[in-house]
Amino acid sequence: MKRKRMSRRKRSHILYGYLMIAPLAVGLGIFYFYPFFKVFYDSFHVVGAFNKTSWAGISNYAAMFRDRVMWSTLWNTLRYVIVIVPATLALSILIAALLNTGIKGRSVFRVIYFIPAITMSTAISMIWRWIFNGDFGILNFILSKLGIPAVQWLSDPKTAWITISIVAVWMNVGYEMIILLAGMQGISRTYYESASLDGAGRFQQFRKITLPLLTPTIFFVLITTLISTFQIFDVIYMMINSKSLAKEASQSIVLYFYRNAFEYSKKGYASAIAIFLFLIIMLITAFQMKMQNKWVNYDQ
Amino acid sequence: MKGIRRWIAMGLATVMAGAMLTGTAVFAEEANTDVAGEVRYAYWDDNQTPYIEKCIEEFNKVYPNVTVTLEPNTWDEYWTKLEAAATGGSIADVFWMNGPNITKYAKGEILMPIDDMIAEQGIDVANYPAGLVSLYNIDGAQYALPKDFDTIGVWYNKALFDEAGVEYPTDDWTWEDMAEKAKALTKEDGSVYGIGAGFDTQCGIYNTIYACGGYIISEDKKSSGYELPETQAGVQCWIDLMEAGVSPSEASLEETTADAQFLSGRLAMYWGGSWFLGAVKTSDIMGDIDVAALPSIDGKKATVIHGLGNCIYAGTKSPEAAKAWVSFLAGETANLISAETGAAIPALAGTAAAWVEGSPEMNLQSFITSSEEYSYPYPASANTAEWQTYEADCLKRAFSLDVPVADACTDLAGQMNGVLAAE
Repeated sequence: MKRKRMSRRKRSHILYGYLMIAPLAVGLGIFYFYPFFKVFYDSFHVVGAFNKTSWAGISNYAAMFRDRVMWSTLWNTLRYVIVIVPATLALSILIAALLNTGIKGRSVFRVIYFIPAITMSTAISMIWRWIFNGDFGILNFILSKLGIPAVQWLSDPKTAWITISIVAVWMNVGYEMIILLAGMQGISRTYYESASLDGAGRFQQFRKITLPLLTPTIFFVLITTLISTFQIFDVIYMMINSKSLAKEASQSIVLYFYRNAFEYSKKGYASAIAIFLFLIIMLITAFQMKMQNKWVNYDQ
Repeated sequence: MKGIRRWIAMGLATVMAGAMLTGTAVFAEEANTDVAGEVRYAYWDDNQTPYIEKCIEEFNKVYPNVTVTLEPNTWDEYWTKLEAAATGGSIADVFWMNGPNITKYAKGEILMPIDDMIAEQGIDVANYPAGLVSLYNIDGAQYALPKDFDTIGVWYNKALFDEAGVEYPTDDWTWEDMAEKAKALTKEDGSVYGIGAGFDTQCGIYNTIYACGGYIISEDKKSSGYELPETQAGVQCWIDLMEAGVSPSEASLEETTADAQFLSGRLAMYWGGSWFLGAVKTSDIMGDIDVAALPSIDGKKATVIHGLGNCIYAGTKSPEAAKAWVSFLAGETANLISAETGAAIPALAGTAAAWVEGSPEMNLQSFITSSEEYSYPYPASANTAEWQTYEADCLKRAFSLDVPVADACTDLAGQMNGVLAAE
């Protein structure tokens, strides 16, 4: 008797649980899971203008692996990842460490560094586009005062991707810095106190205490920046127009996906690219999850 | 085709005459209460909202039971939104269309053919620029009547000409005249260039390709014209200007567009459309700017003509009201409003004069003359956007002087033919 009542209570408990997560689950279903399966479905079809769909088998995938531009955009994307992710991590750890000390006006600095994270990326891109303008930009003006000849930062295929990387790092650092700062403040003061009693210097404390104890946070930041950099889109879309000389050298894979889907009316082909990118990111993330035992320190 | 048009025109003339005899003139402001419904009207240029609102006011005097609701958009999102709305079936009843997109929408069966409307309403298509009427005629069916038109001219900065002691261009000048003037106007220190000779299609190579006797896309829309020596000559003439150093580099023109460089006084000449008048009028150097017709190449003149059309959604719930609105916009009242508000050059013959008279100090008549005497339609096929991407990719390498014109054009022709074959 008693047992039965317990289980009924338990059942209603479970029911309430489901009710509580329902809004989120429905939202995720409509806006994430349905589109995911739709993209998967479309990748095996030719989907032209106005969604006229016909079966295509694996021809989208076959075309993709033969598409020279797809491989060059994939290489561009990898290049962004290789440059932007380590630069973001190093800079945001450095800034977080500096802001974690007792320097004057640190709350002002925290706000200043965080501002890019809460500013629209389109607005940021517009400003940087002017800074980097080859004829009228302030950067070339300063360089010319130093006797360095003008560089066409955004339209030269050799420099465009570097310019994009600089802006992307600048945009990332504020947000990651806040997360790392929170991680640093979660480290107990007692470690530092005993270390300084033992005569460890500031740098040694940073290396032997802060960094190892911060690894869970660093791991989190690493995974999220890595995924977001693989999906880099808005900065390039805003700063380099679709008819630029530097388009091919700077285009990321998500941008190539977008152009196929919405500019060339090849949604089926675009879907195949999206699935391919999904698999790449999944593999890399899985690899990182596996590797984390080797360097991430969870016992504090 | 011509024959059919003549027949329609004759039929219309009869209808008009009949209407006049019975005293119910087509443009009489007698209320028509039979036609009723709601018409959603989508467009992308907010500068034209005053013109459209005025049109609605006049339209409602004739059709009091039709409600027109406006759906303004920005250019950047217009086509993405329109395609999504067309796919989902929630597209506006009447919307703006342009040359690069008409074939895609017509073949996608999104648009209603309006041949019967033209006949019913007594509209004479001969009163609109022929290049534009044919632009909106796909496989023998008419999908839109031009609302306005634009042609290309050479805008120039008189102050820079005076400073260099160079004579102003005249409408009968040649390409060689232009190249000489550009040379004389260019300053050594790079503060002033004679002309902006960067890659541009509608305001650049399309005009010179036609003037050289070439074409961009064949009439049956099956093959690219970029393999032809005439077409390549129309590209080469720009590269010659680039090599002569009378223009800022392609990279410079890419980062700061030619129109912006022209209005800031860095360029003495700029090839631009009649729509540029709006920007001229709001600029600081308006008093210094005038315009000339495009120069002739080996005695031949050519300009691209383009203009917007009003299209009706094939699945509209109120087809009669939509037709009434579209034919009103094609009529004299709406065209005169367009000229007076300065929104754009109205397409109906005889109504452009008001647009020209709006700025008597400038040679705006040259845009009208060129449209009548030597205008060529904007090249388009079903997937224009895709081959235009390759066009920019390939030709920009020639404009930045990295690749010879012939190589860039051959490369482009191959890619373009691939797209056209897949259509």
